[in-house]
Amino acid sequence: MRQPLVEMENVSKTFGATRALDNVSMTIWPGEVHVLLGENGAGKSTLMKILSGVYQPSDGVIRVNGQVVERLNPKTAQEAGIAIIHQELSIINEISIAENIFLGRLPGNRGLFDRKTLEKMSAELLARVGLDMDPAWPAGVLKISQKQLVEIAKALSVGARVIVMDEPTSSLTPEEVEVLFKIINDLRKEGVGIVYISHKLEEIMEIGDRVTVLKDGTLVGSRPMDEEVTPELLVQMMVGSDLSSKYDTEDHSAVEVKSDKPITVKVEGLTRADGRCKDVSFEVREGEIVGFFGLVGSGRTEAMRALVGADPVSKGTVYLKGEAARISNPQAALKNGMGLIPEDRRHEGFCHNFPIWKNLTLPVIAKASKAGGLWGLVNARKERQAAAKVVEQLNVRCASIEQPITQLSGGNQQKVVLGKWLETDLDIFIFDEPTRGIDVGVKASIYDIIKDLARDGKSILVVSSELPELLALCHRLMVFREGTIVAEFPISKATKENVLYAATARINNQGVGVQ
Amino acid sequence: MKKDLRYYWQRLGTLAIFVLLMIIMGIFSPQYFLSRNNIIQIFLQSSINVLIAIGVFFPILIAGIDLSVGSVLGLTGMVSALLMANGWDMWLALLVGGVLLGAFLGLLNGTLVVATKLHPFIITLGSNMIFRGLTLTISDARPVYNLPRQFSRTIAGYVGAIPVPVIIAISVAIIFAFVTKKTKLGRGIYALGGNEEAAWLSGINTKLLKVVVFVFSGLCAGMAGIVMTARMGAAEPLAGTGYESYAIASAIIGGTSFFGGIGNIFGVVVGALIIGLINNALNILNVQTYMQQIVMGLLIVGSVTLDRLLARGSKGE
Amino acid sequence: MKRLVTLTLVLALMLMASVNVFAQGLLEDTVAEKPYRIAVLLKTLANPFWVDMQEGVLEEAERLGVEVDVFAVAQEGDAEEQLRLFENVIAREYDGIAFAPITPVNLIPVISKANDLGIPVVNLDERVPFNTLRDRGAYVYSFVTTNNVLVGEQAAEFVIQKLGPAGGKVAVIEGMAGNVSGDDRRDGFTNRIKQEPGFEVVASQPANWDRTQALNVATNILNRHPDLKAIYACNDTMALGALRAVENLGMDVIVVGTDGVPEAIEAVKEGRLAATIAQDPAMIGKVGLRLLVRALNIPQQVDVPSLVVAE
Repeated sequence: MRQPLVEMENVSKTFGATRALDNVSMTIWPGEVHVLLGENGAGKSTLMKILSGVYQPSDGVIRVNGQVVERLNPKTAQEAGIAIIHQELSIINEISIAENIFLGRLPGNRGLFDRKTLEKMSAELLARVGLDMDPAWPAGVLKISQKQLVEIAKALSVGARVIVMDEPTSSLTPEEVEVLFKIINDLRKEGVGIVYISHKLEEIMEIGDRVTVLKDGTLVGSRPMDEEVTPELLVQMMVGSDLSSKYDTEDHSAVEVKSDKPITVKVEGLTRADGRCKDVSFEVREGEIVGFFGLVGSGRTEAMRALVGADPVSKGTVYLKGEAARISNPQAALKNGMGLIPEDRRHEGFCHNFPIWKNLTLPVIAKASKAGGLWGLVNARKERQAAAKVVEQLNVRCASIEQPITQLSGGNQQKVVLGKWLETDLDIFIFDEPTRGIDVGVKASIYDIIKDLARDGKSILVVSSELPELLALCHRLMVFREGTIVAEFPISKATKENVLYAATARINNQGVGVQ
Repeated sequence: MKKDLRYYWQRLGTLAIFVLLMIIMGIFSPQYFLSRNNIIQIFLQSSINVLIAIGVFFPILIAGIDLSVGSVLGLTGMVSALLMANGWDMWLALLVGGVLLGAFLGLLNGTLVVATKLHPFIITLGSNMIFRGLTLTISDARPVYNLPRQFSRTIAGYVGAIPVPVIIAISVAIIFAFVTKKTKLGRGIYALGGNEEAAWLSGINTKLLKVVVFVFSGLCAGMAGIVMTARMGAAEPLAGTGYESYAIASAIIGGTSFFGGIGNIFGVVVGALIIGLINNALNILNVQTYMQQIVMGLLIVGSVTLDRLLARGSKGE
Repeated sequence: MKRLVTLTLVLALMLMASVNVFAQGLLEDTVAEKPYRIAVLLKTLANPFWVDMQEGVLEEAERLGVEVDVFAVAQEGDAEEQLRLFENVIAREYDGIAFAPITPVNLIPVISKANDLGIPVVNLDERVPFNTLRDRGAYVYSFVTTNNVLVGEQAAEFVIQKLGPAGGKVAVIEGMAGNVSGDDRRDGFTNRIKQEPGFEVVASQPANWDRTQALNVATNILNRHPDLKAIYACNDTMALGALRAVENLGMDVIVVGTDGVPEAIEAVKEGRLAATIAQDPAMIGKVGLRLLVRALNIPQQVDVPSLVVAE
């Protein structure tokens, strides 16, 4: 009887009080492409980190080739034939392809390595992955797709029997994807087990033999990819039947904003200079909350940064209240009543060296001065008063406004980052992941703040990876995929399934994907 | 909010080191060291370093650096001397050759930093050599002397018992302390130093601010160049070589963080005074030459280490 | 005052004489047999001393009819850059090389390279230790310099004569710590002073060749020793700074410098600076060049006619 390469049985992992994985099992057979599917945060990477020995499971059994492995660490995992190819490739540009393949295991003895043997062995491996390159060349000359093949060669060089590929096609062209699939097919014939992590449903449909779906750290199911499996079914498995969560769509108080409300923001064909978002067009009305959904890397954040002029734009027009506006930097956005509350608080949101009040008044200072915070005096007394008002209004939990912001909890930091815009009379608020890393209580109050702003006639753009959040909060949903908006849903038509489907599957029509 | 040891250390730690050193020196050599004359000398001898340190404080505050201040000092001192030697009116020569030229050299540094997006270390490492080369070229590597007597008498003279360089340094310190504490510009620089991206997204014109900090740096070095030339009554082509290290050390001893966003002018001034005090003390005690560098190095490492330990040690309170 | 100037000039002449004794006028009759291509590496042209040496070299080159290129680094401390310059000079196939090393050892690797290629090299100003050279299998053809210990001693002689038998306290302002010529001058001065009863070196402090630092250091020393009688500075730049300190304090202290740069000589003439111990860099350069030319004049091969021995 055939023996599975790896069996993970009832594996659990807890980090402090958080249960990242709960009783998950997965079996990898030789010669199969095993798709691992799940939303962001479903537990895929945790499971793979356990498989590669980076994390120790809190509970559960792992068997490799039928043998129970007690303590797996990265070295023993490699010896057991498990290799991971991360989305961020680990190829070093400055050294040769051959050296990359055998990095840390260069052949030869007494500190000298045998270049001839090295290159001969590398050439054999490169032939196996179908890469026709001289192994003596520096790896920097390779394209990303070729580097990926070198990673595979590297995995084969250690005799890997299980290769995990994390989003391998995220930066490949369709032609390159085909080459990769051919190699995967060859590996499959050689009896290698492949764990394939991807969000791209059509790819999964094409290459997968078996699929395991995770959701919120639990196993939704594992099944062969037979005729019954359709993209719709996969989406349904990912979303789960858990539609009665507290962010239930029925719960949201929002209905569509009437079309007689004036359009405050209209974006036409917005394209970034670096191409990370292209041809983005949408409009937002007064008092409307529009959600922007998409997977990580789909270009939502990039589009918002371009909109406020934080990053360079190559093409496109922005109309604010019907008039074309030139927004080449955040100062201009601020002058036009538009502000971005960024997703990464620590790196983009606040100044770690400032107490709460100085953080809260930063945009006020920037706005009140012609040259973007360069001219004029500060009035600390007035600033403190304004800051105290915001702190009270948003119920920021702190000892005093003099407290360094670094001492606050993540949720309260976020309130400060958000609150600093309240005193600047914005008409358009852009929230990027407003509740990331924030506990439930504070989340609710941030939703309230956002809804209040909309009720006051502000236009709100919310970027989020948490679909339930958007479904509960927004009047309308835009879906980003591969740098552009691929679908638009009025909230009454939006469901977890069709939004997620639009975000993962390749569809061309605007709006309704699957009903 | 509870004001812990860390709070006070951040504000007064440098001053504490200064006072401590004064006391130690007072015990060693009270009759010479603590004389009024010697205390004035310490301030006078620190005045040039105070000026450059105030300047270099700004690039450090935005997590950058300005290695060219020593050369800016040399070039501005030389150009103002040459202008005077060629019959320019003294004040005009000082304004153009010292203050404006200094600011202009800073503008060059800042513009290059913003335009190339390279770390200021690289830009100013290069401009340091360029400015020094220019100084050597225009002076033909020879000192310029025989300057108008009025020049040294005015800029390096005394008002009562107080030397003019000290008055200049203190005035500049007060002006820049005001800029950092009371103006939007100052707040913007601290914001930029704390988190460039957050400041940028908050609508602060961070690109312009980056240029401004280098203009400040050049401006201060230019004024230091004037003071130096006045004190010597001559401009030396190699004047100011290596002075950047004293200025940077002053800023660091004064509690300025290399990671940006933290520090204040008062601390920097005291930091520069500490270096002046140590130099003075080494001379008075006639400490052996080879030992002097060890003492200075220990002081820099020691004070910064102490700063770290105290800041970290009280963090949990 | 007049006596003072005379005395200074005498001292300067004495120093030149010592160079000349070493050079023995003997080399003045040097002629170049061919228009050799010669490279001269100086420390830096940012200092009048080296500019003068360059001028001496170029003047002599014209007289001898040889082609000379002078090279120098931008900053006196840049030993690496000088090494690189030397390598370039070798690559450009000069017939002979004269050099003034920035440190005693920075050029040793390339000197042996020049030796291998048969290019004669002459050491100027600061000595590359001969035994170190030998250990590394390298050699220099000759060495031309001012004796810095002697310079310090001469300064001491001057101070001793000037202050007379009453003696008094004296101070030294040193250059950059660890610089050989500076240290030699200091040691020469200090050791000579020590031999003289009634004299005492009460302070010896570095000012890193920097005028402003010398002003500060001298002021501090003068405040500490109000009864100081003389200051010896290891170069003129620092002497001028120290002079400024003395004048600021209105004290009666004699200041002696070293090098004889124009500003110092002017100050001597004005009766402000007591003396400067002038080196003759131009002569060092000239003699160095003559030595090289002589080395090149030596034929590489001399055929001795054979004799026919027959019955």
